[in-house]
Amino acid sequence: MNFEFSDEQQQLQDTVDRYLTDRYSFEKFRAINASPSGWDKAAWAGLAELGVLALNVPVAQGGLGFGPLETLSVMGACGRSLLLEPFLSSAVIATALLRAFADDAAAAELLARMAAGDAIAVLAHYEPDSRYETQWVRTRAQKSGDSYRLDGHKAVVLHAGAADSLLISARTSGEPSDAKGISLFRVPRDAKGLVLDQYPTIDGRRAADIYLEGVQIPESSRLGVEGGALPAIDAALDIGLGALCAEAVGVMQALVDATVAYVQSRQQFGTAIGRFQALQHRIADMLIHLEQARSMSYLAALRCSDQNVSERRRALSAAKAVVGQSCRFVAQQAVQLHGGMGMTDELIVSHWFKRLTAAELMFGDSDTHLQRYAALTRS
Amino acid sequence: MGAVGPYALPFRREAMEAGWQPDPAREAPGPKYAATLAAAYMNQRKLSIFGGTNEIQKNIISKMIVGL
Repeated sequence: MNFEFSDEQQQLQDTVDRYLTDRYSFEKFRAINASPSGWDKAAWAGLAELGVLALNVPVAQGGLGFGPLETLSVMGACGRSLLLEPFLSSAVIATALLRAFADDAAAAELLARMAAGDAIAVLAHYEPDSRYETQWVRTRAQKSGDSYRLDGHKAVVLHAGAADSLLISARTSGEPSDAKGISLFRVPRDAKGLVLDQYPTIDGRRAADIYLEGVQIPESSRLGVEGGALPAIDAALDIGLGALCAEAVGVMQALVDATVAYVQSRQQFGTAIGRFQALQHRIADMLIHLEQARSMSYLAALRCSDQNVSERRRALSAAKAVVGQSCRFVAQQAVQLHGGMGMTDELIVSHWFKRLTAAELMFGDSDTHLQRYAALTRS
Repeated sequence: MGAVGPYALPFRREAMEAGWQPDPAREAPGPKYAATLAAAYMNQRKLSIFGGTNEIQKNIISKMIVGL
């Protein structure tokens, strides 16, 4: 199969690539990472100016109305530059989710502000004991009169602290593992009774556990019908998974390039270590893993918005299983071939390593997705 | 890390200190033992590097023991 970007997609890729190369150096990453908030408003405004934040927003809300392929074309550069800003969380996942509710006036207005870079929204869905099961929701929403009261605990919500709006799933009926009975609510981050326990993640981004302690919100904050939000949440997370695969491929490409350059310059035993066959074979193996992951990231981008849910999830699980295994191999070998240098904080290699380690664990690790693939293939 | 899944991601510097206890007022964000797993995994990258990398050890084995 011939996979080529259209002129438009290529242009988009080049634009973001150039912007991040010029404006988001490793030194910049380190400075933002060391700042209290962990993200940079100026960098975010720059991305808005390029139109990247409008990528997935419908034309009706002032967006570009693009989809997963255009997202893929920019994710590689986001990975390579170790972008700390909430692009994946807000401009991909939350945008995809809100798009499903664009007939809601408040959601449409939020989308328009997100496209312009004036608002950030983040989905808060997973819970402490849900692991990667999206239908496991214990957080409750109890209706009284024309308002809801939310109580519960959301786990490891990426970029929650940067968000103005949180899109919080909560159960309005049924048991924790029921697919039905899950509703979605738009909640301001500074709502009374909403407590954020913020921390950095291993790869330098910011996340939080969210405690909902009697949060009162009006009925009009509910997105879509009561109890029927899970299909839209799954669809948005799957689009996020597709984008994450593309981001990981960008990191792996950067690590392979850096490792090739390193073994060509590092001298030992009177020659460049890249002359040794054992290391040449290792690099060949890294390249094979990278190319397998790249092909699977294309499959993920092509299928992640498929309406046929079982086909979509089969393709995504296949992709995440392969990409996850490649993440681990390429990251570990890159550090090994760099030797002790590969472990230092001063070298970007260790930060790429950490980003890939996090990527393997997000939205389900390789083992989880192998199991899902097996189950979907049997059924 | 695979066993604790999403809770391998938080990096809490204070959790690296001996005797650290999570905030008892709320349900803890993940099991206590999860907090140090990722840091340990990253630190263990050194084992196949220091004191002569695995590759160097294999060179020695093939020369000194096997006699190639």
